[in-house]
Amino acid sequence: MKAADLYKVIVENSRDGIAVIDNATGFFIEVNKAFCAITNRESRFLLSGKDVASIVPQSVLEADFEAFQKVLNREDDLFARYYHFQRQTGDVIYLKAQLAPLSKQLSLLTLEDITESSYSNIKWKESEKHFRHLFDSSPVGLWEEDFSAVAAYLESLNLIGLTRAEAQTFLEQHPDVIQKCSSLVKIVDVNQTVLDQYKVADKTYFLERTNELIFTEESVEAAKSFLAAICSNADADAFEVTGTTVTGEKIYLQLKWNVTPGKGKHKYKRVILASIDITESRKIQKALEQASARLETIVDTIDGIVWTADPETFKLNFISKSVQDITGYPSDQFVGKDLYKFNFDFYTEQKQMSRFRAKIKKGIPGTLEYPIKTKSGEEKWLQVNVSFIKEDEAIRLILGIVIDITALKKSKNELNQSMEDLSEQNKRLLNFSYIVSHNLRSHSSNILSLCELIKQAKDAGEKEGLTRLLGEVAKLLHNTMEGLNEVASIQSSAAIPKEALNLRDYIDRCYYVLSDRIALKNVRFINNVAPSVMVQYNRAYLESVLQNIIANAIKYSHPDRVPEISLDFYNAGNEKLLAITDNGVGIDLKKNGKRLFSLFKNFSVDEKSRGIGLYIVKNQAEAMGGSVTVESKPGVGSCFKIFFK
Amino acid sequence: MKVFVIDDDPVYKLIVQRMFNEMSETVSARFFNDGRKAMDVLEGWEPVAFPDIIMLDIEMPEMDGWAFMDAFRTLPAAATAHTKIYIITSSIANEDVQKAGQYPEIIKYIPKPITQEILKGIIGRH
Repeated sequence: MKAADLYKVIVENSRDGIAVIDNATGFFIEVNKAFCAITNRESRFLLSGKDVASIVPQSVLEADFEAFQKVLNREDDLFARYYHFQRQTGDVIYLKAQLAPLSKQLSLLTLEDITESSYSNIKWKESEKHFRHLFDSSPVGLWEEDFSAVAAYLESLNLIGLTRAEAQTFLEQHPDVIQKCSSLVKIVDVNQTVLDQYKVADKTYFLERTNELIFTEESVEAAKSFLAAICSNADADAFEVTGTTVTGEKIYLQLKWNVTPGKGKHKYKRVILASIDITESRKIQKALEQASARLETIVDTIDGIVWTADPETFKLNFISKSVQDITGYPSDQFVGKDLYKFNFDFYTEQKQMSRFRAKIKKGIPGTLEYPIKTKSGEEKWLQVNVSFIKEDEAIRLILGIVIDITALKKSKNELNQSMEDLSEQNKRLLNFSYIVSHNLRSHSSNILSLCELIKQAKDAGEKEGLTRLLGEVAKLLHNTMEGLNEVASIQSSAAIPKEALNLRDYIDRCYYVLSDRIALKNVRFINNVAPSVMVQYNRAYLESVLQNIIANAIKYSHPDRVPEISLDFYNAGNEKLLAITDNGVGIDLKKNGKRLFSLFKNFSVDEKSRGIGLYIVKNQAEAMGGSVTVESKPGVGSCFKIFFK
Repeated sequence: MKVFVIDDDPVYKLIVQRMFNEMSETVSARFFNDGRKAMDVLEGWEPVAFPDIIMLDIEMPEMDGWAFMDAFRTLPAAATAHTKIYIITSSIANEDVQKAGQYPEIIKYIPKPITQEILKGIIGRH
């Protein structure tokens, strides 16, 4: 093929529209297929003496025609313009038109269809604008950073490809590497929010001094994490950092970064980093944490136990640590368990607890005092106050506050006991004063009456008789006074000295003192008390108690049989007692039981021992913290029991 | 005039006997050491034999004054109707004074000592 033909084929098949124009006339001389397609004209039409003006829309500027003509006139070398036209189909076509001289007579017009490239260019620009706007006005701080230098440096140290943990360890040992990397980070751009976060007014100023402004000691941790992520080829990460604004305030930021798609060296060319200011929420969180810690400290340091239970499941979901101090069981022994239904030996009165549980279940708040058994088996008394925490009338939480009232309970009991003691003592005193007054009055009354009679006596004989009687009464009065004195000297207080006394020794001594009477009545005296028995007692009281009871046993012996008195000591469990048994006349307890140990109100000289003896025994035994009892059958005998503390 | 003196104090009984002897009226008095002994006597008697006056002590062995009062009330009303009871005691306890007020049979509560004046007042009223 000839060269001319070859070019003709090339021109004919070119994608660009090509036309040859006669410089003199401006008419088209040659057009190719593409030119016809772009102009939407047939070649016959175009080649029938048509110029450019006959095919272009009116919108083309007059100035363009003038420029075009200049090339045809060979006054200029090139005409080049871009156009966009709307076709009849509605599509828009973008054209690049170029005219250049070919020879003296001819010029070459090329039309390049640039519709596609033009469109994407515009779209790109639009989206660029769009994203620029997004970037600038985002409420999240956005940073565009270039980490490629950092990545290259890390690669030069053979750190890329390490695991995160390995990289982290390395960086911890090489703070200089972190320092270096920090200086290699290039901040490309930041948005307004970042400037606001750091309270910077001038972006240029910020970008120039970013490192000195934001890399503080605190940000080393963040940098370490960031670099370790890069070493392990990560493309995203998130962490929190502490920073300082240019005005010196501390700020907390949450950072998230992503790399834009890319590989190898370019991977970290464009890193987008988002920073969210969490200073406020951090402050609130910190305040909440502090408040919660404070509350927990308070709850754990108060003396009582605080617990809460779920109103739905009725299980404990919290119990303060002090539960261990009070019960011996750790808090985890209770948490998750059914309220007041524990599977270990805890409540002494489970029925009471179940009733209380049922009450709470009905939504009735309340207070309860109850005994428990601690881990060490000790009994303790607790008091609980149960209330409900409500939200819009619905119960959200059951709250219990428990205090240890063991000591209170104990002192209450002690108080009750001493009240009882006092009242008992008071009664005794009242009774005593009543008796004293009665006894003294009966004598003084007699004295007064006798005096009256003596005054009116008719003869010396009568007078003498009455005076003798007056003397008798005075003696009675004196005896009464002596007896009362003995009674009054018994004190029931801890002040009376007590000591360990050998019981058998004291019985023997008593036997010796009463030996005359024992011999006189031929009494069989049987002392079964072991020589080792010791009792805590006051010496004088022990003598008095033994002598009074044994003397009575001798005195009220039965006339028809050999008197027998036996003494036995028993020590069973908590009880220690001495039993003094006789086979005497016995006492009708139905009739006299009530009065037996009380002060006989009308005791006389003859019955002195009977009148106050047992009253003294009772008081002395009680003063020693013990007691004395009697069992008897008239005609058979009596048994007095002295209980020791 | 029939009088019962129920008291366990021998000196008192001696004094009362002396005072009766000094009186113009003839007083036939019987003395008892406690309420039981007096009751044993009364339980077997015809109403006409009942004393006009009983001088009763409170504190006594066996049966005290109050127990005697309760036993006395169980006797036939025909027998006890004209018997006047005087409490004569060393007790000045309020409790006893008030208790005496609950028995309509008790004419008066007289704390010891007894004087001829008082005794004349008791006997003279009948």
